[in-house]
Amino acid sequence: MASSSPLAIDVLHASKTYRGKVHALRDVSLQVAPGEIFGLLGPNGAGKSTLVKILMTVIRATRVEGRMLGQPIGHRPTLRRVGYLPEHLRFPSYLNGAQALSYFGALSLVPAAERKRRADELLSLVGMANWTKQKIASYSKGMRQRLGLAVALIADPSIVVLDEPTDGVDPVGRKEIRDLLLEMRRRGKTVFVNSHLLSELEMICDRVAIMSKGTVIRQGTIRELTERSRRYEFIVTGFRGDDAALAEPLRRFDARIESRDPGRDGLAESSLIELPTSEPTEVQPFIDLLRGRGVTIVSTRPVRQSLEDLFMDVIRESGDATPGAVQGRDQNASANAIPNAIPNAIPNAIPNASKGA
Amino acid sequence: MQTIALLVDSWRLLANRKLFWLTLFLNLLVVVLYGSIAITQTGISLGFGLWEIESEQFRAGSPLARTVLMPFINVQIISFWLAWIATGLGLISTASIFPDFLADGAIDMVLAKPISRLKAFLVKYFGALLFVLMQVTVFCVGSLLVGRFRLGEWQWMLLAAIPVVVVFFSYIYAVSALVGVATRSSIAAILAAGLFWLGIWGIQSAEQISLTIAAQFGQVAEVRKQMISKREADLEALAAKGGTRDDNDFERLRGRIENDKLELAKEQASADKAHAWHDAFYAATAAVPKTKGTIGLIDRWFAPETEASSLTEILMSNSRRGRQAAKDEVPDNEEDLARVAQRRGELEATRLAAERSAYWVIGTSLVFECVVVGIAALIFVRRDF
Repeated sequence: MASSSPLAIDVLHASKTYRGKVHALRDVSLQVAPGEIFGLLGPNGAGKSTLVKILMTVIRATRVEGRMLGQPIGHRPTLRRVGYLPEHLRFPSYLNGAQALSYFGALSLVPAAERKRRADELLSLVGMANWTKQKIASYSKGMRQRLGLAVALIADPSIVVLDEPTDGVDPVGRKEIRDLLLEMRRRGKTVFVNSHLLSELEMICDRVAIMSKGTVIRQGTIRELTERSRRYEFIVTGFRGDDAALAEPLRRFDARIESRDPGRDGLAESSLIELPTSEPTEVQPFIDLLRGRGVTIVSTRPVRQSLEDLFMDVIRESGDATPGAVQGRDQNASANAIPNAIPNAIPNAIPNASKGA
Repeated sequence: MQTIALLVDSWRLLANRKLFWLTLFLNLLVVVLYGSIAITQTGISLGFGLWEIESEQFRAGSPLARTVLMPFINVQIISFWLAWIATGLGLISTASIFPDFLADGAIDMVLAKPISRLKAFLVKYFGALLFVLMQVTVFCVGSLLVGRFRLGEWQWMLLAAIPVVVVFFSYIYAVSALVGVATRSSIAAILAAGLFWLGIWGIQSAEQISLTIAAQFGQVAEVRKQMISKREADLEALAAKGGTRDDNDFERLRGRIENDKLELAKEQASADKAHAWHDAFYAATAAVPKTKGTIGLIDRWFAPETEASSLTEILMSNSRRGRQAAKDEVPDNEEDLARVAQRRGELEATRLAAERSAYWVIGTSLVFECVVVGIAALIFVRRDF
C-alpha cells in the first residue's frame, strides 16, 4: 500500500551482514527528497554500492525498513519507476545500442512503441545517435556508460540511481553527464548518485551523505556540512604584527593571521588573515578597521572547505583513511581550487583580486 | 513482454555464436548425406548413386525396406548425431549462458527491473533450450523432406524426435545451468555437464549389463529346471519301460538329475546375487536421467507392429522366430544350456527394458531435472549479486 511519505527514498535501519560476519552495512538511515540530486560518498568498502544494490533488490538486506516512492524497499513493481546504472556496467556485447534500449525497456514494461520513440530521443540525448546500429562490443567504456544512462532513463523513471555514472567518461562527457543530471532535476526527477568524484558531486548535489565502515557519518546539504569551515580570507600588505591598536579587534573578530612568503602573491611582504564568518555584513567593520590602520587589502574572498576536504577530514576522523579511499579525484577540481579552500558563488569584495583566485 | 524480451535476447545470444551456425551447417550436411541414400529397384544406392548395394530384401517396393530399413537409418542417425554430436556441441554453446547472465554489472541490470527472479531464471533456462530445439527441428524437418522426396516415404515419426532430443538435452543442461549459476564459470559448467553425462551413461550401462547378467543367470536356473524336468520325465519313461537302478542308463540319468539339482542350487544363488546387484544399479538408474532410455524411445516408436520391441531388435534378428526357437529349445548338455540361457537372457533383458514405459523413462528423468533446476533457481533467487 502506498504511503503518503513525502520522501522519494526513506531508508531506515538498513543492515547487511555477509556470511563470515562481515558487516557491510550497520543500521544505515538516510532520506532523499523528491526532485533533488543526492550524492552518496565514501571510501572503497564503505558500503555505498551495497546500499544501492539493496534499493535495487540486487542484494537482500539483513534488515531494512523504509520506503521508496511510497512503497516498502524491495517492492519489485516499484522498480518500474526507478532507473538504474550499475557500477562496472556490462551490456550483452551481441546487442547494438537500439537493441539494448529495447531489451531493458521491455524488462521495465515499457510498451514497444514508447520504447522506440524514447530510444531515439535518449540516444540523441546522450550523444549516441550515430551508434544505434553498432554492436556494443565496439563501444568504448565511455560510450557504454552513456548508453547505460540512456537505459536508466528508458522507462521515464521518477528516481534515477546512478552508481559511478562518470566512470570511464572523458572530461567533456562528464560535463555532459552533469548537465544531464541537472536537466533531470529540472524535470522533477530524483537523482541518487554514488560517486568517488567529489568535486563533480559538489557541483550538482543538493544533499550528500558520507559513509564509512558501513554507517552514515554525515548527512545534509553541502552548505550545512561545510558551515563550520566558512570564512573570509584577506591578503593584505602593510600589516604589522606589533600594531597594538589592531591586537584587540583581531582577538574580538577571532581572526587568524599568517605571514606569507615574500613574493608569494607578487608582493614584497604580505599576510593572510582569516575571519571565521560567512556573513558579508560582519566583514565590513573589519575592512574598515584594516583600512583605518593603513593596511592595504590586496584581495578578499569568502571561502569554505571543499567537499573533498570535508570528506577527507570526516574519513580521517572515522579512522577509515585507507590508501585509495578516494579514487579518481577530479583533475579539473584540483586545477581550479586553491588548496584547502574553494571560492563559492558570492561576488568578491574586490573584483580584480578575485581573478587571482 | 518480459518473457518475449528474454527469449529474443536468448535468440540473439545464440545467433551471435559461431558455434551455433557451425552446428546448424553440420546438421544440414548430415541431412544432405542422408539424402544421398536412396532405395532403388535393385537395392540401396549410396552417395547419390556412387555405390550400389544389391539386395532382394531392401529394394524399392519391398515392405522391409519401407517399414524397417529407412526407419532404422533414421533412428541410427538420430541416436548418433543428435544424441551425441549435436548435444555435445549444444552443451558447449550454451554453457556460458548463465555465467554471462550472472556477470557483475550484467545481472544488476536485469534484477533491478520489475521482474521476478524466478521468472528471469526460468525464461533464461528455457531460452537456452532454444538452441537444441532449433537445431533438432532443422535436422528433423530436413530429414523428413529427404525421406519423402528421395525415398518416397513420409517418416512422420521423425517429428517425434524433436521433443525427445530436446528433453534429452535438457537433462544434461540442467546440471550445466546449476553449476553455471553456482560458480559463474563456463568451464566448470562444461566440465560438470560432461562428467555428469559420462557418469549417467556409466550408471545406465552398468544397469543394462547387470540386467542382462541377472536375466541370463536367472535363465540358466530356469533352463536347468527344464532340463531336470525333462530328465525326470525321461527317467519315469525309462522306469515305465522296466528300467531299474541296476541299469546303467537309468543310473546315469539319475546321477545327472542329482548333479543338475546341485548345480541348480548354485545357479539359483548366483542368480539371486546378480539380481541384488541389478537392483542396486536399477535404484541408481531410477534416480538419474535416463538418457539412453529416452533416445531408445525413438527406436521403440519407429518399430512396426511386431512382437519385437525395437527396430534394432528386428534387424539384429531378434525376431519372433528367433524368440520362439530360444523359448522352445530344451538343451541336453552344458554347452547348449549356456547358449540357450544366454540367448533367453538377452531376450528377457530386452523385454524387461522395453516394459519400462515412456512415462517412467521420461517422468523419472524429469523429476531429476526439476530437482536440479529447482536447486539452481533457489541459488539464483536467494543470491546476492
